[in-house]
Amino acid sequence: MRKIILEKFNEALEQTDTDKQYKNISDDQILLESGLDSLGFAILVALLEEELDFDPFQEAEDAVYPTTFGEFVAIYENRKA
Amino acid sequence: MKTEKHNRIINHLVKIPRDRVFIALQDDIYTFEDIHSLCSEFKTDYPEIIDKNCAIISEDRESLAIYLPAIDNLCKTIFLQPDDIKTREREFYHSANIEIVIKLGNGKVLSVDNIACNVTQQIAETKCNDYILATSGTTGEPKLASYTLSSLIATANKNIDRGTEFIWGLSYDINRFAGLQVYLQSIISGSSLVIPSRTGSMDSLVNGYTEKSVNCLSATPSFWRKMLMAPHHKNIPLKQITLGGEISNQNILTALSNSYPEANIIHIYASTEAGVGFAVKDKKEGFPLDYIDGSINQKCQLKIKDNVLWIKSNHGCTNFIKGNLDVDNNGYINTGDLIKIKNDRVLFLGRESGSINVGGNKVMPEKVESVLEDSNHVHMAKVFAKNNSVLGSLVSAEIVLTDSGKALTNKEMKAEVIAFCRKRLESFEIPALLKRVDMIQTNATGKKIRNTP
Repeated sequence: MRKIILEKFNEALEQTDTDKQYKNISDDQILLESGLDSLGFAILVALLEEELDFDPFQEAEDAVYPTTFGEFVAIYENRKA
Repeated sequence: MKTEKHNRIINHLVKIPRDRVFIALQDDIYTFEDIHSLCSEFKTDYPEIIDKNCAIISEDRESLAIYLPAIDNLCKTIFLQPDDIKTREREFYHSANIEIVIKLGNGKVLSVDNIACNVTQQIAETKCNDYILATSGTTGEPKLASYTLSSLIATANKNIDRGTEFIWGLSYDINRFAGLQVYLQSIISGSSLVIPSRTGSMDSLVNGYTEKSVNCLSATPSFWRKMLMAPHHKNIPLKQITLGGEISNQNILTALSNSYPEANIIHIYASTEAGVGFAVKDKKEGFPLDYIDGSINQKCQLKIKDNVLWIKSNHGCTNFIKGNLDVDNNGYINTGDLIKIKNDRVLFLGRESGSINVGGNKVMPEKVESVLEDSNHVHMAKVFAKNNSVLGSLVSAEIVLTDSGKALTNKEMKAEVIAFCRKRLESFEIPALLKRVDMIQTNATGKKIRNTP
Protein backbone atom coordinates (compact mmCIF):
# COMPACT_ATOMS: atom_id res chain seq x y z
CA MET A 1 0.00 0.00 0.00
CA ARG A 2 2.79 2.41 0.93
CA LYS A 3 4.42 1.76 -2.45
CA ILE A 4 1.23 2.56 -4.35
CA ILE A 5 0.68 5.72 -2.30
CA LEU A 6 4.27 6.86 -2.88
CA GLU A 7 3.92 6.29 -6.61
CA LYS A 8 0.65 8.22 -6.79
CA PHE A 9 2.07 10.93 -4.53
CA ASN A 10 4.83 11.54 -7.09
CA GLU A 11 2.29 11.42 -9.88
CA ALA A 12 0.18 14.08 -8.14
CA LEU A 13 3.29 16.24 -7.65
CA GLU A 14 4.05 15.91 -11.34
CA GLN A 15 0.47 16.63 -12.34
CA THR A 16 0.44 19.86 -10.34
CA ASP A 17 3.73 20.88 -11.95
CA THR A 18 5.64 20.67 -8.67
CA ASP A 19 9.36 20.30 -9.15
CA LYS A 20 9.79 17.61 -6.56
CA GLN A 21 9.82 13.81 -6.45
CA TYR A 22 10.17 11.55 -3.44
CA LYS A 23 12.15 8.29 -3.25
CA ASN A 24 10.83 7.84 0.24
CA ILE A 25 8.57 9.77 2.57
CA SER A 26 9.01 9.51 6.32
CA ASP A 27 5.99 8.84 8.51
CA ASP A 28 6.30 12.14 10.35
CA GLN A 29 6.36 14.26 7.18
CA ILE A 30 3.73 17.01 7.68
CA LEU A 31 1.42 16.71 4.67
CA LEU A 32 0.82 20.45 4.29
CA GLU A 33 4.61 20.89 4.02
CA SER A 34 5.17 18.07 1.55
CA GLY A 35 4.92 20.18 -1.59
CA LEU A 36 1.38 19.11 -2.45
CA ASP A 37 -1.25 21.84 -2.22
CA SER A 38 -5.00 21.29 -1.75
CA LEU A 39 -5.44 20.57 -5.44
CA GLY A 40 -2.52 18.14 -5.28
CA PHE A 41 -4.14 16.25 -2.40
CA ALA A 42 -7.44 16.18 -4.18
CA ILE A 43 -5.67 14.67 -7.20
CA LEU A 44 -3.77 12.18 -5.02
CA VAL A 45 -7.01 10.94 -3.45
CA ALA A 46 -8.64 10.71 -6.90
CA LEU A 47 -5.68 8.80 -8.38
CA LEU A 48 -5.73 6.40 -5.46
CA GLU A 49 -9.45 5.90 -5.88
CA GLU A 50 -8.87 5.12 -9.56
CA GLU A 51 -6.27 2.53 -8.54
CA LEU A 52 -7.90 1.06 -5.41
CA ASP A 53 -11.59 1.64 -6.07
CA PHE A 54 -12.19 3.38 -2.77
CA ASP A 55 -11.79 6.77 -1.15
CA PRO A 56 -11.57 6.43 2.62
CA PHE A 57 -12.37 10.13 3.07
CA GLN A 58 -15.77 9.82 1.44
CA GLU A 59 -16.85 7.45 4.13
CA ALA A 60 -18.60 9.21 6.94
CA GLU A 61 -17.66 6.85 9.75
CA ASP A 62 -14.70 7.95 11.86
CA ALA A 63 -14.06 10.94 9.64
CA VAL A 64 -10.54 12.08 10.45
CA TYR A 65 -8.15 14.10 8.36
CA PRO A 66 -4.49 13.08 8.41
CA THR A 67 -1.80 15.60 9.30
CA THR A 68 1.25 13.42 8.55
CA PHE A 69 2.18 11.02 5.77
CA GLY A 70 2.16 8.13 8.28
CA GLU A 71 -1.43 8.89 9.25
CA PHE A 72 -2.40 9.14 5.60
CA VAL A 73 -0.97 5.69 4.83
CA ALA A 74 -2.58 4.24 7.98
CA ILE A 75 -6.03 5.44 6.90
CA TYR A 76 -5.68 3.59 3.59
CA GLU A 77 -4.21 0.48 5.24
CA ASN A 78 -6.95 0.33 7.86
CA ARG A 79 -9.64 0.69 5.25
CA LYS A 80 -8.15 -2.25 3.33
CA ALA A 81 -8.04 -4.48 6.42
CA MET B 1 -41.91 54.96 -5.69
CA LYS B 2 -41.13 54.06 -2.13
CA THR B 3 -37.43 53.91 -1.36
CA GLU B 4 -35.93 52.26 1.66
CA LYS B 5 -34.42 54.62 4.21
CA HIS B 6 -30.66 54.45 3.87
CA ASN B 7 -29.43 52.18 6.62
CA ARG B 8 -25.74 52.80 7.23
CA ILE B 9 -23.02 50.85 9.01
CA ILE B 10 -22.28 53.81 11.25
CA ASN B 11 -25.81 53.65 12.71
CA HIS B 12 -24.87 50.23 14.08
CA LEU B 13 -21.32 51.16 14.99
CA VAL B 14 -22.40 53.90 17.41
CA LYS B 15 -24.43 51.42 19.47
CA ILE B 16 -21.30 49.45 20.42
CA PRO B 17 -19.28 50.32 23.56
CA ARG B 18 -16.44 52.31 22.06
CA ASP B 19 -13.54 50.66 23.83
CA ARG B 20 -14.33 47.25 22.38
CA VAL B 21 -11.79 45.92 19.92
CA PHE B 22 -13.29 45.67 16.44
CA ILE B 23 -10.45 44.77 14.08
CA ALA B 24 -7.47 42.72 15.20
CA LEU B 25 -4.66 42.62 12.65
CA GLN B 26 -1.39 40.76 12.99
CA ASP B 27 0.35 43.66 14.77
CA ASP B 28 -2.34 46.25 15.24
CA ILE B 29 -5.81 46.72 16.67
CA TYR B 30 -8.65 49.12 15.94
CA THR B 31 -11.38 49.74 18.51
CA PHE B 32 -14.91 50.73 17.53
CA GLU B 33 -13.92 54.22 18.69
CA ASP B 34 -10.99 54.27 16.23
CA ILE B 35 -13.24 53.35 13.32
CA HIS B 36 -15.77 55.95 14.41
CA SER B 37 -13.11 58.69 14.49
CA LEU B 38 -11.94 57.59 11.07
CA CYS B 39 -15.49 58.08 9.76
CA SER B 40 -15.43 61.73 10.93
CA GLU B 41 -11.98 62.41 9.46
CA PHE B 42 -12.93 60.80 6.18
CA LYS B 43 -16.03 62.96 5.91
CA THR B 44 -13.91 66.11 6.26
CA ASP B 45 -11.29 64.89 3.77
CA TYR B 46 -13.53 63.54 1.01
CA PRO B 47 -16.79 65.52 0.82
CA GLU B 48 -16.85 64.92 -2.95
CA ILE B 49 -18.05 61.35 -2.56
CA ILE B 50 -21.22 62.26 -0.66
CA ASP B 51 -24.22 60.60 -2.30
CA LYS B 52 -22.13 59.22 -5.13
CA ASN B 53 -21.94 55.69 -6.48
CA CYS B 54 -18.47 54.46 -5.61
CA ALA B 55 -16.34 51.46 -6.53
CA ILE B 56 -13.74 50.39 -3.98
CA ILE B 57 -10.54 48.64 -5.00
CA SER B 58 -8.44 47.51 -2.08
CA GLU B 59 -4.93 46.13 -2.33
CA ASP B 60 -5.38 44.23 0.91
CA ARG B 61 -8.19 43.07 3.19
CA GLU B 62 -7.09 45.17 6.12
CA SER B 63 -7.54 48.53 4.37
CA LEU B 64 -11.03 47.66 3.19
CA ALA B 65 -12.01 46.53 6.70
CA ILE B 66 -10.79 49.79 8.20
CA TYR B 67 -12.34 52.16 5.65
CA LEU B 68 -15.62 50.49 4.70
CA PRO B 69 -17.76 52.16 7.43
CA ALA B 70 -16.29 55.60 6.56
CA ILE B 71 -17.03 55.18 2.85
CA ASP B 72 -20.44 53.65 3.52
CA ASN B 73 -21.26 56.67 5.68
CA LEU B 74 -21.02 59.00 2.68
CA CYS B 75 -21.71 57.04 -0.51
CA LYS B 76 -24.99 56.22 -2.07
CA THR B 77 -23.94 52.88 -3.51
CA ILE B 78 -20.78 50.88 -2.94
CA PHE B 79 -19.44 48.44 -5.50
CA LEU B 80 -16.98 46.12 -3.77
CA GLN B 81 -14.85 45.39 -6.76
CA PRO B 82 -13.31 41.91 -6.88
CA ASP B 83 -9.80 41.31 -8.23
CA ASP B 84 -10.88 39.24 -11.20
CA ILE B 85 -12.82 41.68 -13.38
CA LYS B 86 -9.89 43.86 -14.38
CA THR B 87 -10.42 43.57 -18.13
CA ARG B 88 -14.12 44.31 -17.92
CA GLU B 89 -13.93 47.06 -15.33
CA ARG B 90 -15.46 49.76 -17.54
CA GLU B 91 -18.39 47.60 -18.50
CA PHE B 92 -19.14 46.88 -14.85
CA TYR B 93 -18.79 50.53 -13.85
CA HIS B 94 -21.25 51.44 -16.54
CA SER B 95 -23.80 48.80 -15.46
CA ALA B 96 -23.56 49.91 -11.85
CA ASN B 97 -23.54 53.65 -12.63
CA ILE B 98 -20.23 54.13 -10.85
CA GLU B 99 -19.08 57.74 -10.56
CA ILE B 100 -16.10 57.53 -8.22
CA VAL B 101 -13.33 54.92 -7.85
CA ILE B 102 -11.65 54.76 -4.46
CA LYS B 103 -8.34 52.90 -4.18
CA LEU B 104 -7.17 51.67 -0.78
CA GLY B 105 -3.93 50.03 0.33
CA ASN B 106 -1.58 49.74 3.26
CA GLY B 107 -4.18 51.14 5.68
CA LYS B 108 -4.56 54.33 3.62
CA VAL B 109 -6.71 55.94 0.96
CA LEU B 110 -4.47 55.85 -2.13
CA SER B 111 -6.68 57.75 -4.54
CA VAL B 112 -10.22 59.00 -5.13
CA ASP B 113 -10.96 59.43 -8.82
CA ASN B 114 -13.95 60.81 -10.59
CA ILE B 115 -14.65 58.71 -13.62
CA ALA B 116 -16.59 59.78 -16.63
CA CYS B 117 -19.61 57.55 -16.78
CA ASN B 118 -23.03 58.32 -18.14
CA VAL B 119 -25.17 57.89 -15.09
CA THR B 120 -28.59 56.70 -16.06
CA GLN B 121 -30.47 59.25 -14.01
CA GLN B 122 -33.66 57.30 -13.84
CA ILE B 123 -32.05 54.28 -12.23
CA ALA B 124 -29.87 56.34 -9.93
CA GLU B 125 -32.85 58.21 -8.55
CA THR B 126 -35.37 55.49 -8.06
CA LYS B 127 -33.27 52.82 -6.42
CA CYS B 128 -31.44 52.83 -3.16
CA ASN B 129 -28.94 50.02 -3.30
CA ASP B 130 -26.31 50.01 -0.65
CA TYR B 131 -23.98 47.32 -1.90
CA ILE B 132 -23.12 45.85 -5.25
CA LEU B 133 -21.23 42.58 -5.28
CA ALA B 134 -19.99 40.45 -8.12
CA THR B 135 -21.24 36.91 -8.06
CA SER B 136 -19.79 34.10 -10.09
CA GLY B 137 -22.67 33.63 -12.49
CA THR B 138 -23.85 30.23 -13.66
CA THR B 139 -22.17 30.71 -17.02
CA GLY B 140 -18.87 31.47 -15.34
CA GLU B 141 -19.28 35.16 -16.18
CA PRO B 142 -19.47 37.35 -13.08
CA LYS B 143 -22.83 39.03 -12.53
CA LEU B 144 -23.54 42.09 -10.43
CA ALA B 145 -26.10 41.82 -7.67
CA SER B 146 -27.18 44.59 -5.36
CA TYR B 147 -28.23 44.34 -1.74
CA THR B 148 -29.41 46.74 0.89
CA LEU B 149 -27.50 46.73 4.16
CA SER B 150 -30.74 45.65 5.84
CA SER B 151 -30.92 42.54 3.69
CA LEU B 152 -27.28 41.66 4.33
CA ILE B 153 -27.74 41.78 8.09
CA ALA B 154 -31.24 40.29 8.22
CA THR B 155 -30.05 37.01 9.74
CA ALA B 156 -27.16 38.46 11.78
CA ASN B 157 -27.17 37.97 15.52
CA LYS B 158 -27.80 41.43 16.93
CA ASN B 159 -27.20 40.80 20.63
CA ILE B 160 -24.54 43.37 21.57
CA ASP B 161 -24.19 42.15 25.17
CA ARG B 162 -23.35 38.63 24.02
CA GLY B 163 -21.25 40.05 21.18
CA THR B 164 -18.21 40.31 23.48
CA GLU B 165 -18.16 36.52 23.72
CA PHE B 166 -17.43 36.10 20.03
CA ILE B 167 -14.20 36.58 18.17
CA TRP B 168 -14.61 36.06 14.46
CA GLY B 169 -11.86 35.05 12.10
CA LEU B 170 -12.01 36.26 8.53
CA SER B 171 -11.41 33.58 5.93
CA TYR B 172 -13.08 35.12 2.87
CA ASP B 173 -12.32 38.48 1.35
CA ILE B 174 -14.72 41.24 2.39
CA ASN B 175 -15.53 42.00 -1.24
CA ARG B 176 -17.27 38.61 -1.45
CA PHE B 177 -20.76 37.94 -0.15
CA ALA B 178 -19.62 35.49 2.55
CA GLY B 179 -16.79 37.72 3.76
CA LEU B 180 -18.98 40.82 3.88
CA GLN B 181 -21.51 38.95 5.98
CA VAL B 182 -18.90 37.95 8.56
CA TYR B 183 -17.61 41.52 8.62
CA LEU B 184 -21.08 42.98 9.15
CA GLN B 185 -21.94 40.34 11.75
CA SER B 186 -18.94 41.48 13.82
CA ILE B 187 -20.06 45.10 13.66
CA ILE B 188 -23.73 44.50 14.40
CA SER B 189 -23.04 42.46 17.52
CA GLY B 190 -19.94 44.43 18.55
CA SER B 191 -17.65 41.42 18.22
CA SER B 192 -13.96 41.38 17.31
CA LEU B 193 -12.86 40.40 13.85
CA VAL B 194 -9.43 38.85 13.41
CA ILE B 195 -8.07 39.55 9.94
CA PRO B 196 -5.10 37.45 8.93
CA SER B 197 -3.06 38.77 6.05
CA ARG B 198 -3.69 37.03 2.75
CA THR B 199 -0.19 35.61 2.56
CA GLY B 200 1.02 32.86 4.84
CA SER B 201 0.65 29.10 5.14
CA MET B 202 -2.28 27.24 6.67
CA ASP B 203 -0.06 26.51 9.65
CA SER B 204 0.61 30.20 10.32
CA LEU B 205 -3.09 30.94 9.82
CA VAL B 206 -4.01 28.31 12.42
CA ASN B 207 -1.43 29.72 14.84
CA GLY B 208 -2.73 33.25 14.23
CA TYR B 209 -6.34 32.23 14.94
CA THR B 210 -5.19 30.37 18.06
CA GLU B 211 -3.12 33.29 19.43
CA LYS B 212 -6.00 35.69 18.90
CA SER B 213 -8.49 33.21 20.47
CA VAL B 214 -10.76 33.10 17.41
CA ASN B 215 -13.89 31.18 18.36
CA CYS B 216 -16.18 31.74 15.36
CA LEU B 217 -15.17 30.88 11.85
CA SER B 218 -17.08 30.67 8.63
CA ALA B 219 -15.44 29.01 5.61
CA THR B 220 -15.92 26.70 2.66
CA PRO B 221 -15.81 22.91 3.17
CA SER B 222 -12.56 22.88 1.14
CA PHE B 223 -11.02 25.43 3.47
CA TRP B 224 -12.10 23.39 6.52
CA ARG B 225 -10.68 20.17 5.06
CA LYS B 226 -7.33 21.84 4.55
CA MET B 227 -7.43 23.29 8.03
CA LEU B 228 -8.14 19.87 9.55
CA MET B 229 -4.87 18.70 7.98
CA ALA B 230 -2.88 21.31 9.92
CA PRO B 231 -1.28 19.61 12.93
CA HIS B 232 -2.34 22.17 15.56
CA HIS B 233 -5.84 22.92 14.32
CA LYS B 234 -7.49 21.61 17.48
CA ASN B 235 -5.90 24.46 19.47
CA ILE B 236 -8.28 27.00 17.96
CA PRO B 237 -10.96 27.43 20.65
CA LEU B 238 -13.88 27.21 18.21
CA LYS B 239 -17.44 27.54 19.53
CA GLN B 240 -19.14 28.35 16.26
CA ILE B 241 -18.32 26.70 12.94
CA THR B 242 -20.06 27.71 9.74
CA LEU B 243 -19.70 26.09 6.34
CA GLY B 244 -20.90 27.56 3.07
CA GLY B 245 -20.12 28.24 -0.55
CA GLU B 246 -19.89 24.60 -1.56
CA ILE B 247 -21.80 21.43 -0.80
CA SER B 248 -21.09 20.26 2.77
CA ASN B 249 -21.00 16.49 2.78
CA GLN B 250 -21.38 14.22 5.77
CA ASN B 251 -17.68 13.48 5.94
CA ILE B 252 -16.58 17.05 6.62
CA LEU B 253 -19.44 17.64 9.08
CA THR B 254 -18.46 14.53 11.03
CA ALA B 255 -14.74 15.32 10.85
CA LEU B 256 -15.38 18.80 12.25
CA SER B 257 -17.49 17.50 15.09
CA ASN B 258 -14.72 14.99 15.91
CA SER B 259 -12.12 17.77 16.04
CA TYR B 260 -14.35 20.30 17.82
CA PRO B 261 -16.86 18.29 19.85
CA GLU B 262 -18.10 21.34 21.77
CA ALA B 263 -18.73 23.58 18.77
CA ASN B 264 -22.01 24.42 17.09
CA ILE B 265 -21.65 23.37 13.48
CA ILE B 266 -23.97 24.83 10.91
CA HIS B 267 -23.91 24.65 7.17
CA ILE B 268 -25.46 27.41 5.18
CA TYR B 269 -27.23 27.13 1.91
CA ALA B 270 -27.04 30.47 0.21
CA SER B 271 -27.54 31.33 -3.36
CA THR B 272 -25.94 34.70 -4.03
CA GLU B 273 -28.77 35.39 -6.44
CA ALA B 274 -31.43 34.91 -3.79
CA GLY B 275 -29.52 36.51 -0.91
CA VAL B 276 -29.26 34.61 2.37
CA GLY B 277 -30.76 31.14 2.19
CA PHE B 278 -31.05 29.03 5.29
CA ALA B 279 -28.96 27.28 7.90
CA VAL B 280 -28.88 23.60 8.80
CA LYS B 281 -27.82 22.91 12.38
CA ASP B 282 -28.22 19.18 12.87
CA LYS B 283 -24.74 18.24 11.58
CA LYS B 284 -26.27 16.15 8.82
CA GLU B 285 -25.67 16.71 5.12
CA GLY B 286 -28.38 18.23 2.93
CA PHE B 287 -31.47 19.57 4.65
CA PRO B 288 -34.69 18.12 6.07
CA LEU B 289 -37.36 17.38 3.49
CA ASP B 290 -39.94 19.27 5.54
CA TYR B 291 -38.15 22.55 4.72
CA ILE B 292 -39.71 22.17 1.28
CA ASP B 293 -43.34 22.52 2.19
CA GLY B 294 -42.53 25.38 4.54
CA SER B 295 -43.91 23.59 7.58
CA ILE B 296 -41.11 25.04 9.69
CA ASN B 297 -40.47 28.69 10.14
CA GLN B 298 -37.99 29.64 7.44
CA LYS B 299 -37.15 33.07 6.16
CA CYS B 300 -37.48 31.75 2.67
CA GLN B 301 -39.70 29.34 0.81
CA LEU B 302 -38.46 26.42 -1.19
CA LYS B 303 -39.76 24.24 -3.93
CA ILE B 304 -38.40 21.58 -6.23
CA LYS B 305 -39.05 21.65 -9.94
CA ASP B 306 -37.47 19.03 -12.24
CA ASN B 307 -34.88 18.09 -9.62
CA VAL B 308 -33.78 21.71 -9.26
CA LEU B 309 -34.17 23.81 -6.13
CA TRP B 310 -36.13 27.07 -6.45
CA ILE B 311 -36.06 29.59 -3.65
CA LYS B 312 -38.08 32.61 -2.65
CA SER B 313 -36.43 34.77 -0.05
CA ASN B 314 -37.97 37.58 1.97
CA HIS B 315 -34.71 39.44 2.27
CA GLY B 316 -32.88 38.59 -0.89
CA CYS B 317 -30.90 40.55 -3.33
CA THR B 318 -32.73 43.69 -4.29
CA ASN B 319 -32.03 43.48 -7.93
CA PHE B 320 -29.82 41.86 -10.50
CA ILE B 321 -28.04 44.61 -12.31
CA LYS B 322 -26.18 42.66 -14.93
CA GLY B 323 -27.34 39.29 -16.14
CA ASN B 324 -30.76 37.77 -16.01
CA LEU B 325 -32.39 35.93 -13.21
CA ASP B 326 -34.73 33.01 -13.77
CA VAL B 327 -37.82 33.90 -11.73
CA ASP B 328 -41.19 32.15 -12.02
CA ASN B 329 -44.66 33.69 -11.73
CA ASN B 330 -44.78 33.07 -7.99
CA GLY B 331 -41.52 34.86 -7.32
CA TYR B 332 -39.35 31.78 -6.89
CA ILE B 333 -35.78 32.08 -8.19
CA ASN B 334 -34.11 29.17 -9.99
CA THR B 335 -30.98 28.37 -7.94
CA GLY B 336 -29.52 26.11 -10.63
CA ASP B 337 -28.71 23.56 -7.92
CA LEU B 338 -29.60 19.97 -8.68
CA ILE B 339 -30.98 17.97 -5.78
CA LYS B 340 -32.17 14.49 -4.95
CA ILE B 341 -34.41 13.30 -2.16
CA LYS B 342 -33.11 10.46 -0.04
CA ASN B 343 -35.29 9.31 2.83
CA ASP B 344 -36.25 12.47 4.69
CA ARG B 345 -33.35 14.58 3.43
CA VAL B 346 -32.81 16.74 0.39
CA LEU B 347 -29.23 16.33 -0.89
CA PHE B 348 -27.33 18.56 -3.30
CA LEU B 349 -25.85 16.97 -6.42
CA GLY B 350 -24.19 19.87 -8.24
CA ARG B 351 -25.07 22.52 -10.77
CA GLU B 352 -27.73 22.17 -13.42
CA SER B 353 -25.44 23.94 -15.89
CA GLY B 354 -22.85 21.19 -15.42
CA SER B 355 -20.39 23.73 -14.04
CA ILE B 356 -17.93 22.12 -11.67
CA ASN B 357 -17.08 23.61 -8.27
CA VAL B 358 -13.43 22.78 -7.55
CA GLY B 359 -12.83 24.02 -4.03
CA GLY B 360 -14.90 27.14 -4.69
CA ASN B 361 -13.52 27.74 -8.20
CA LYS B 362 -15.99 27.46 -11.01
CA VAL B 363 -15.06 25.38 -14.03
CA MET B 364 -17.14 25.27 -17.21
CA PRO B 365 -16.89 21.84 -18.87
CA GLU B 366 -17.34 23.24 -22.39
CA LYS B 367 -14.24 25.40 -22.03
CA VAL B 368 -12.08 22.47 -20.89
CA GLU B 369 -13.50 20.25 -23.62
CA SER B 370 -12.60 22.73 -26.33
CA VAL B 371 -9.03 23.01 -25.04
CA LEU B 372 -8.69 19.22 -24.89
CA GLU B 373 -10.08 18.92 -28.41
CA ASP B 374 -7.42 21.36 -29.64
CA SER B 375 -4.73 18.87 -28.66
CA ASN B 376 -3.37 16.74 -31.51
CA HIS B 377 -3.91 13.63 -29.44
CA VAL B 378 -7.59 14.20 -28.66
CA HIS B 379 -10.40 13.72 -31.10
CA MET B 380 -13.31 14.35 -28.75
CA ALA B 381 -13.66 15.04 -25.05
CA LYS B 382 -16.37 15.01 -22.43
CA VAL B 383 -15.69 16.80 -19.17
CA PHE B 384 -17.64 16.24 -15.98
CA ALA B 385 -17.39 16.56 -12.20
CA LYS B 386 -15.85 13.76 -10.20
CA ASN B 387 -16.81 13.81 -6.52
CA ASN B 388 -13.76 14.45 -4.42
CA SER B 389 -13.37 14.28 -0.68
CA VAL B 390 -10.77 17.06 -0.54
CA LEU B 391 -12.11 19.77 -2.85
CA GLY B 392 -15.73 18.70 -3.31
CA SER B 393 -15.26 18.03 -7.01
CA LEU B 394 -12.47 17.59 -9.48
CA VAL B 395 -12.47 17.91 -13.24
CA SER B 396 -12.56 14.54 -14.95
CA ALA B 397 -12.53 13.84 -18.67
CA GLU B 398 -13.32 11.02 -21.02
CA ILE B 399 -11.40 11.34 -24.26
CA VAL B 400 -11.50 9.69 -27.65
CA LEU B 401 -7.92 9.67 -28.95
CA THR B 402 -6.64 10.43 -32.44
CA ASP B 403 -4.17 8.05 -34.06
CA SER B 404 -1.24 10.02 -32.63
CA GLY B 405 -2.80 9.75 -29.17
CA LYS B 406 -3.41 6.03 -29.59
CA ALA B 407 0.27 5.50 -30.37
CA LEU B 408 1.23 6.65 -26.87
CA THR B 409 1.15 4.71 -23.61
CA ASN B 410 -1.46 5.89 -21.09
CA LYS B 411 1.19 7.59 -19.01
CA GLU B 412 2.78 9.42 -21.96
CA MET B 413 -0.60 10.47 -23.30
CA LYS B 414 -1.69 11.86 -19.93
CA ALA B 415 1.59 13.75 -19.43
CA GLU B 416 1.39 15.31 -22.88
CA VAL B 417 -2.28 16.25 -22.70
CA ILE B 418 -1.84 17.78 -19.25
CA ALA B 419 1.22 19.74 -20.39
CA PHE B 420 -0.85 21.01 -23.32
CA CYS B 421 -3.67 22.08 -20.97
CA ARG B 422 -1.29 23.77 -18.55
CA LYS B 423 -0.49 26.50 -21.05
CA ARG B 424 -4.16 27.19 -21.68
CA LEU B 425 -6.09 26.55 -18.45
CA GLU B 426 -5.95 27.44 -14.76
CA SER B 427 -4.53 24.65 -12.62
CA PHE B 428 -7.94 23.79 -11.14
CA GLU B 429 -9.44 23.52 -14.65
CA ILE B 430 -6.97 20.90 -15.89
CA PRO B 431 -8.56 17.44 -15.79
CA ALA B 432 -7.21 15.48 -12.84
CA LEU B 433 -8.39 12.23 -14.35
CA LEU B 434 -8.26 11.30 -18.02
CA LYS B 435 -9.92 8.18 -19.25
CA ARG B 436 -9.64 6.91 -22.79
CA VAL B 437 -12.91 5.76 -24.28
CA ASP B 438 -13.91 4.51 -27.73
CA MET B 439 -16.84 6.86 -28.13
CA ILE B 440 -18.71 9.68 -26.45
CA GLN B 441 -22.47 9.56 -26.46
CA THR B 442 -24.42 12.41 -27.95
CA ASN B 443 -28.14 13.03 -27.88
CA ALA B 444 -30.49 13.42 -30.84
CA THR B 445 -29.32 16.97 -31.48
CA GLY B 446 -25.70 15.91 -31.47
CA LYS B 447 -24.93 17.42 -28.06
CA LYS B 448 -22.93 15.64 -25.42
CA ILE B 449 -25.19 14.20 -22.76
CA ARG B 450 -24.66 15.95 -19.44
CA ASN B 451 -25.90 15.72 -15.93
CA THR B 452 -28.65 13.25 -15.62
CA PRO B 453 -29.33 13.24 -11.89
